[in-house]
Amino acid sequence: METQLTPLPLMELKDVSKSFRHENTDYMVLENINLQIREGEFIALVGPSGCGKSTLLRIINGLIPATKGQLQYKGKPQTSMNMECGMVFQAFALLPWLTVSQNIELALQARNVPDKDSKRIAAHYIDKVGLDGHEEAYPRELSGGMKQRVGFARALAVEPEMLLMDEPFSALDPLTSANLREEVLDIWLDPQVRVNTVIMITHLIEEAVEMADRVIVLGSGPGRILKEVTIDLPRPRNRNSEGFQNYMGEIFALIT
Amino acid sequence: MDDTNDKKPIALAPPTDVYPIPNTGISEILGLLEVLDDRQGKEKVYTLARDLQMEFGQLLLVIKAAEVLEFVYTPGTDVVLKALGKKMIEIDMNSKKKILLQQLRRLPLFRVAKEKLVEAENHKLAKTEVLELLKSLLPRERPELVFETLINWGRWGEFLGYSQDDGYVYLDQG
Amino acid sequence: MLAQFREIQNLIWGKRSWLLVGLVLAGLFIFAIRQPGTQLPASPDKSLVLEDLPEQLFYSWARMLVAYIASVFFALIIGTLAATREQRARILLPIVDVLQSIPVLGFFPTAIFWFVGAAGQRNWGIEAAVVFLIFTSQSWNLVFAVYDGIRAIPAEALEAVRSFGVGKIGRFRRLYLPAVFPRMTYNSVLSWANGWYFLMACEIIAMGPMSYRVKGLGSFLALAIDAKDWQAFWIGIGALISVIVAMSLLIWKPLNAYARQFKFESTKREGEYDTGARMLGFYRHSPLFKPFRFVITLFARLGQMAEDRLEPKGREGARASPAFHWSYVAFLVLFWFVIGVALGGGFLKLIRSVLPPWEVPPWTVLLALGASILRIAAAYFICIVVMLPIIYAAHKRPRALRSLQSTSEVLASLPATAFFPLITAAAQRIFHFTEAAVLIVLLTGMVWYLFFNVISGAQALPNDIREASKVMGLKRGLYIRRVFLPVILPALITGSITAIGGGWNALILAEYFKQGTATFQVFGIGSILANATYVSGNERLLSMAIFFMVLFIVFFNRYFWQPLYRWAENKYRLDA
Repeated sequence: METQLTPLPLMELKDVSKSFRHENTDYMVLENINLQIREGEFIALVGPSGCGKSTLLRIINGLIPATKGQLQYKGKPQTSMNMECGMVFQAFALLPWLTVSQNIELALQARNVPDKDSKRIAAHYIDKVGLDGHEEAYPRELSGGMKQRVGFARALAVEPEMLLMDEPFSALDPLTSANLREEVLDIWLDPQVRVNTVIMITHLIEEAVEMADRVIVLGSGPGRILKEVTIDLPRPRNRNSEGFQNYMGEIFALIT
Repeated sequence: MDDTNDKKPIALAPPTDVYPIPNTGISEILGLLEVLDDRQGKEKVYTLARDLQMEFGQLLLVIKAAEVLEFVYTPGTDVVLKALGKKMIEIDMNSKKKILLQQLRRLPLFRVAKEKLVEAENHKLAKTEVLELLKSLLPRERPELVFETLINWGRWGEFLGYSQDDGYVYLDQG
Repeated sequence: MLAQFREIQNLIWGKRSWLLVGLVLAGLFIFAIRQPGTQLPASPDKSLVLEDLPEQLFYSWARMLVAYIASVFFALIIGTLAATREQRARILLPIVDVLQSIPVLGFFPTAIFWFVGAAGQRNWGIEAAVVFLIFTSQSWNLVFAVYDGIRAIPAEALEAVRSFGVGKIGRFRRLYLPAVFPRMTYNSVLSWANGWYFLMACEIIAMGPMSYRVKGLGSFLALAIDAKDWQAFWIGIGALISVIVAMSLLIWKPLNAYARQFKFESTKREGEYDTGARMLGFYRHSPLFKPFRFVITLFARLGQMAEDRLEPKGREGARASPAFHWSYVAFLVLFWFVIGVALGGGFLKLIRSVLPPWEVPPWTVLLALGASILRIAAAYFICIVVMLPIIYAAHKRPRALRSLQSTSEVLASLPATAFFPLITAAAQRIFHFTEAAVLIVLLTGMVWYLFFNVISGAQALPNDIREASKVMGLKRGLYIRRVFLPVILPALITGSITAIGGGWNALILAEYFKQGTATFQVFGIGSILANATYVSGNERLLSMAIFFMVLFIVFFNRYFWQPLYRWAENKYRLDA
């Protein structure tokens, strides 16, 4: 008899399907998704456009309900919004009439954190993502990279268990992306930051292989998991290494 | 506006060593340093542009900015990471800012800005006054763009601050 | 020669205050020598005959059409003149602003003097007067549409066209006209709605106890109300609604769909059943299209010919021919002369109206104005209190929002004035309190504009902000304060401005109404205006009341609403 040594997964999806109804027809967006997410993992979701990765992410944190199947979080069924998830958006999703500090404090105020504390906590995370000096800036004064930093700080400020990112760097130029990718990894590895588990959607295979422990490759028509590729490379990862290139080739072949 | 009569005139003969700073952000510059580090600290400019699929003009702007801050230098058609640049990407966020501040202090544009702010009442200047100053220092550049970069870099280095609500630029003593 | 002309222009504009004074003096002089007193001809005997309805409907529609065409030309001229030169705009736009605040009754004396007076006792004078009155309710927003449209042209487009060496006419044909086309079509719907709104008032010209009713739907409805012939009334209303709906389906929606290609900004239409585009497609494939297309091409060719003749192209681009050049100069001179005369005349009237003797003393008029302001404010707050929760509840469901929006669009274009008699009768019976009836009438004239605007504001909430709010777990209080209200604020202000304008319009018809032989009125500026027009025929009282009313409206807009809008637009715009 073998004893289970592996810990309970943080989140588990069992036979999850999602369909949308449009003008009397049902469109199956995701079909029979079975997925386990373990604590401390960095997971990347890749796939062609239309494969439902955005939908899958939103099912994971409860923004969208699944049509069929079960979600379990920490062993218990998840039926509503999961408040242990922070989220970073491709289009930044900042409120234009609030300053950097106010945008971050809002997330804390939503959790009934008293004003004095929310200012202090916001300042702490502003410092962490390098926004010190920009506290009073409005989003329209900021470049894309800075706006996304605000997005990160806001997601991290509530100290969630999981960080979900929907194509966080797609709207940024290649250099800023390169910069922020490193900083996200630094934050993830930072023992002082509570967030251990990250799920990131990306359309760049290179980005997925560089950052993730495990890459979930989705196929379309309807969306389903083609394969889970575990990236067994030490960090920091070298793009030019044979291992890196092999993984890229494998994933690329699956998608096309 | 009639209250300008009360303030000291700001425009003087422009110091001849003030040069413009490229209109680009610090994140882009840090990204450039990361990318160079991946390539053993050196790469041809056009190869970078091709590999990154970046618009050539935009890339040149970032390289120039990195050069102005002394993180890279550009022999021939290459761009090479300097020791300071390599250090920038190895240290933590707060140390990055300290180095940036140190570099900003060496730029004539920021030196002049600091001088004017120190002289000014309450150590702060209205945005309009700063724009005037920039127009006189760099007559060939669009003052709004220079202002944007000045504030952007200034905030990063925690050197300058700017509040859009009351329209004042100030020295960040914090 | 062109350079000299420019120099003269700059010189004149440099001393523009002198120019203005000169013009005003010219106007005063002309008015001092004019002959007073114009009699309305005797009104033909009118009896209500149902079979006449189609004919009457047609007459009204034809008058609306003529007034509309005149409005379009007027708007194109004034709007372009204002948009192409800053100094002109500074004079013209405030004038239009004031004119659009003057209620239609205020134009009765002018209409009578200019048109009835000119025609003697002949029929066409009255018809022209009615068309003029309809024109005054249609044209002003078109002027602003043209002005905004030209100002919105991106600088690069202007530079590009200039660099091709295109002259004034060329610019107008190729750049300005297409650029204003979308706004014009959108505003035309509003213009027609305004026209229908005041149709009843316009078709019954009055100066004191004398009144003249022209043959048309407005008079038909008024007669029906007087005779309490509700069957005839409802049939008339039904006919009106059918015409409005038909025009919307057959003309406005396809035109708006066609106009979308001329927009400089691209807007995406999300999953909407586009009636307009469908109609347009239908038109394109129908045999009707060929002659229509022929007419359009004909106009285009004429325009080209005119341009070639008047602005022949030389080596340095198009240069205005001497004939055109001097006609343009003459036109401008005449234009400013007319403006000066009108300004001078208006000024004179104002001064005379405020001097004794008074039928009603100025302080009473001001008090009445105060009463009306309170009524409008009350109606406004009721609108807000009713509307905001509804829109908040609906805004998370795009389909609910869309149906609310199309409903309010339809209801906004129906002339509430036609229903006022019913509303007032019902309110009177239920509440026995005239003030309540007045308030209800005011509400119906105001609330749709608010809905309309705030709904588009709510629809603009970006999806990612909506999701982020959910992820953050923003509960209702915080969400409303930090997300919902800020997002709708600019639209709320625009809507409020329009709604209150609608309120002022409705006021005239709400504060004084007849039911059969009984007259109901409340103390307010609207009833003063109505009395001055329909009862005592006192032009001076009319002028004084209008003067105070317009003064208040214009000042309030300029020093309250517009700065408020600018602040809100700056702080809460979504382009970050």
